[in-house]
Amino acid sequence: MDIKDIEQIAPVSRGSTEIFKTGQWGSGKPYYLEKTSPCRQACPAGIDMARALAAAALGRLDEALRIVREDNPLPGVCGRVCYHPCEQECNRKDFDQAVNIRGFERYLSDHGRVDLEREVPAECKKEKVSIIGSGPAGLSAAWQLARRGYSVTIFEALPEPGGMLRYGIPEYRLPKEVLRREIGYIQQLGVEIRTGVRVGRDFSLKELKKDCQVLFIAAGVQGARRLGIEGEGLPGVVEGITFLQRVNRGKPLEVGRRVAIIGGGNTAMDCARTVRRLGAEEVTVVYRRSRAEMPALAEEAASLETEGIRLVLQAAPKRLLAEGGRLSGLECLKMDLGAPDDSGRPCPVPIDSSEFILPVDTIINAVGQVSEAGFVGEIGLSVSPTGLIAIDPETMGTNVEGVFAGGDLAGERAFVVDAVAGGKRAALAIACFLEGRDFQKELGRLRIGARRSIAFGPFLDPEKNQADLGKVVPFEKINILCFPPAGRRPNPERPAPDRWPRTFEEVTGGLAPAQMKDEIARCFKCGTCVHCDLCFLLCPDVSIRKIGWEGYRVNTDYCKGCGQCAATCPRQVIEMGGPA
Amino acid sequence: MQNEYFRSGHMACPGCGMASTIRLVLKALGEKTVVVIIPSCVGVISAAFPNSTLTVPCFHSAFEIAAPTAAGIAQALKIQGDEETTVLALAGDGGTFDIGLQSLSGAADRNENFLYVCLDNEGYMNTGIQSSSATPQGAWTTTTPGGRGGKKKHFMEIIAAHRLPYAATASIAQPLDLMEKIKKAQAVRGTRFIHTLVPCPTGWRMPEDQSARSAMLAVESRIFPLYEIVDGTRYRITHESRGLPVREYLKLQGRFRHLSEEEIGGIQQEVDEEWERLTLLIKGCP
Amino acid sequence: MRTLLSGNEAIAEAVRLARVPFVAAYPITPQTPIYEKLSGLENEGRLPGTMMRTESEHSAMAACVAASLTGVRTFTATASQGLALMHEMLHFASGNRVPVVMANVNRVLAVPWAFGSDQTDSLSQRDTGWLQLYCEDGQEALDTVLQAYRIAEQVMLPVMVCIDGFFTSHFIEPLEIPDQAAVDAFLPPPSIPNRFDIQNPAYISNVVSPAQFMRFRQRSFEDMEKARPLIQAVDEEYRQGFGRGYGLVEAVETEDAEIVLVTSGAMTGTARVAVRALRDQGVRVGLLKIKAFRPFPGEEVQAALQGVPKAAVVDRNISIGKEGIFCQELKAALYPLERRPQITGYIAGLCGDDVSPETLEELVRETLRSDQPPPGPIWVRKD
Repeated sequence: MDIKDIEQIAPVSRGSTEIFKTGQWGSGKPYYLEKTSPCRQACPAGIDMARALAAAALGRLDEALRIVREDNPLPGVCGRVCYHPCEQECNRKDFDQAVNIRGFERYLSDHGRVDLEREVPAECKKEKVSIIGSGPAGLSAAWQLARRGYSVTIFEALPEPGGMLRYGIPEYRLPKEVLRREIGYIQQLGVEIRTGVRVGRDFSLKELKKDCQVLFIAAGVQGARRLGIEGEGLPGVVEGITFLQRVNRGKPLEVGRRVAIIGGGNTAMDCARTVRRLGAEEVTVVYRRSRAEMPALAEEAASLETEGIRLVLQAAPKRLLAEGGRLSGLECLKMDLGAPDDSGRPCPVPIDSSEFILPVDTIINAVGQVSEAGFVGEIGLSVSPTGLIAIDPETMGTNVEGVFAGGDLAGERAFVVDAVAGGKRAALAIACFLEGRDFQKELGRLRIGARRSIAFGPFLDPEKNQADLGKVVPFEKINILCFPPAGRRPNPERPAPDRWPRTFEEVTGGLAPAQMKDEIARCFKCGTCVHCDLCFLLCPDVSIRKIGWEGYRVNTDYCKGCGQCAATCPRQVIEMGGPA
Repeated sequence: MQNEYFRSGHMACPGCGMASTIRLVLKALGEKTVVVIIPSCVGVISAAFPNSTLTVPCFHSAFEIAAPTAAGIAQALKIQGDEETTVLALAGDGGTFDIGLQSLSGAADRNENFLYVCLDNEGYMNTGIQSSSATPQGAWTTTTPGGRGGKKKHFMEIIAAHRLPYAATASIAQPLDLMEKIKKAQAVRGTRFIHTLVPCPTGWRMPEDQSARSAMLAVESRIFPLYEIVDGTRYRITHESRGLPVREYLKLQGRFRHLSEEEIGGIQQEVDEEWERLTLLIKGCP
Repeated sequence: MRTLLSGNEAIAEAVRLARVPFVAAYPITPQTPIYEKLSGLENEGRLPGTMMRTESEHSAMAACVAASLTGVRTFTATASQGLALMHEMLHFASGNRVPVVMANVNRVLAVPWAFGSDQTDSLSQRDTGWLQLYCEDGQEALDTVLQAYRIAEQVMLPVMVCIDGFFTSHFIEPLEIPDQAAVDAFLPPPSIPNRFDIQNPAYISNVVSPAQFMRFRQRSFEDMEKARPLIQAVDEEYRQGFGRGYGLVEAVETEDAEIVLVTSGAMTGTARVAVRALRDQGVRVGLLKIKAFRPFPGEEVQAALQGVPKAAVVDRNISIGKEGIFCQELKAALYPLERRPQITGYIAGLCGDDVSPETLEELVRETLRSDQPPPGPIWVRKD
């Protein structure tokens, strides 16, 4: 007796239910479409952080770094000094706390390896682009243009490249070694940086323009705005930018024991904390508005207290006092906050008879920078009354054909990442200009979400499978049930006694690998498929097939259109659509 | 991970939590499995003659005898020298909590060698959403249209009393945890019991795309915590539920639509107390 | 080997001799000694198999069916309430076409509560698709269990072997226990297929359509029909090998009978004494013992009663709303005959109520006396 005999007398079923095409039950079918994360939209440089974090979550650190460098060649810099608008819009903040995206960016640059082979362009173009200024705007433009195949030369007036990154930001915030390394990658890709050459002195703008097809001016603003008060000419009054430059060149200016820094921006913070490290005993920052209006990063302002620096708010300098021909005191007036001015911030209104005196022997003027680039008039560039080059913010173009401008000198927002963004946009505009492409059309294709950021990757490689840049994943679409609550891992900071006197060692450290791993896990990776397999595992009808690392395919013969995959996807990669 | 022992083309409702659960259970067990199926949604999902949804050998047994059927097969295999093949009994809450309780208790008492997975969708769904002793208090069913009066039977406590070598709760809320537990159970000899909460869009009156989410909410609100019990006495939580308000879970389902604020409060209190009790049971366990 | 054994013990011996590797059971009076004896054998290592001590008879049959599907020879035993509880599972076993063998120790079904011998329990299961064989004594029980495995494993239908509660189950007599080698020759290792084949997986017994159902049901019916000559052939082979045979029926002195007494089970022993006494007094009475109840031995019964003027059927059972069950089955079996005996049905001995040879003698005479049988059965009561 065997099973064949049994089949005659009792039900024995071997047929497959696959003869029933249950795909006909419903017309809605899921489709996979990666989308954009709010952090990417918020980042002026449009870094695809969600995708980078997704790669890092799978242990592919080098890949993650490459993704970041697609849009920003200076992750080591931004990972230390950026004001992280990404974190302000991180969806995780609505769940518990924003992801430490900046810390991640830094971690990648510290631990990931750069493979320049992958950035070498497919074809070399014959056109030459000249860039004035090796600050973040110039470097960013150079990087993208070199990747596109153009021959790029940067002309830098100072002895070393980097601009404000090299000569403005202090060592304890941005070690020179990190900057050198990142600029080095750009140079290794073939960008030539000529240092110690100043336009207007060593060659003229006209000459430069003749020698290349396109010019990108990103020379920055290094001039100091004057205080405009009595005694400004006294010895002991130092310009903030000059002060920082001298320190960063290894030739610091003499400072006294009691120093006051006027200003509330990052430059003021840098000056105050630097002067402290140089040994000043009493350091005071004087700012005319309140804490809320200080343009400096909150963490910078917070550092003042930790480092024993006094912050005097709502006070403005009235005049400088002298004794024996030397600076002896700063007379200030208390300020009220009045109606908002053009900057949108409350206007400081002096309070009558509220004078007070701060005994000082040194004043550092960090109230702002102005343009010193007189050469811009040479070829007929339109400039603003304050000497800034007028540009069309869309195209980064000036009134002179073939001349583009960006960064501080073009009046762009004065932060590193914004300069990087400007340089990238200019690179796109320049490439379109040289290749006869429709810039607006490209922009439309590359724009991220509803803001200014653009993605450069799809410009270089249109074939590459990219996400829908227009669709930004809102918090409501994140399936928070898939994420356990967990606190944010901040970067470790040196405790105050370690920071000074006289040490310019980095204050903020990098995340330890275990901490980074936890933080990477916290990221929702909005809109980027991380192959979590939830859709594949949950499908009741075995209608989602997993195709290795390519992703998932829906089997519409059997998919009943229940939509569970779309409803459960932690990060809105799947949506239900019409008939397949 | 890629191997499937469950085919497309079956007649489960769209979004069926049971189909997903069975698929994952089989995926974790692998090819050397014999499955006992009884009248329940599985009976329908597994297909009618001459077809089968499963690619492993199965047997359609009677309603109340999933356990002794599995036990008989396991004993016979052992007699034939096969102690490797896993005998899996799949039963619904009706076939486990109600009509099948006696025979399950008997088999468990004898520590028969099979893996029993209870697919608990909290009612007799296959026959049209009638209430069972697994139906939670207050839930609408066709036989308790005003909401069920009794409380859901605490089945894991009954199982614990049998001192089984391995028992656990699991669900599609955490698919990898489910599969891990199945694999773990597979390696143990004796009667092993897995209580899975199986969301049923049809019976729970919720949209068909909410199965996994409702399971997640059940787990996170602690209505269905995920834990293991070894030898009936050693408890271990396998997933830290975050303690979301039960309201989040209840409001998703039409069967709870009629609950008053007071009733919801009562449910929340019970869930909190039960969690406390579970926490105490876990104290001191390695 | 000749020894003193009760009917229950004889059955247990047969299970041992048949090398049954899987027994699932639950205790119920008067079956318990079978269960206990097998447990004892297991404890001594003399039972070549596993005992599953289930928590109910329903589960016991469930486990037997499951084990049988997986390809091993199985056994269970029960009585009365336990058999009734198993009812669903009896259909289940026969529908699944598994060769399970079960001993049923006939006992009255409650209510009223009592414990004596009564065939209503097993006869109520006549429609479940099982073969049913009724034994007169312990020796027949032992022999029949061995034959049952041969029959079951060939026809792929389950077989129920019935004995009277207490009268046979607990009655100790000298019995012949065949030797193992002879039994092994008669009953070689079974070739019951394991329906759960990992290499060639199938879904066993899933839901069918009405048309398919009819096909499988009819097949069961036809296979049961094939059991008739098979029972005969197996019995003949057994007789050759062991010297004892029973047939589907046994007809004693029916050729010239004016009246045939029809009985089954232990009452047949009493009937033999009554028939002897009546013959001695010149009454031309014969005896028809019905052993096989399912399949019902229509041809054999027709052959025995053809031309016999009267028959008195004594049923130790009752189907309320009709009459004794052997009586109604007999009447139906004789229906096709041109010349049918006049049949009087008697209900006697329910619940082990004593039926003496004198009682049987009296009812034979009563049947001979009356012209017409009453429309319903005659209840034989002492009070």
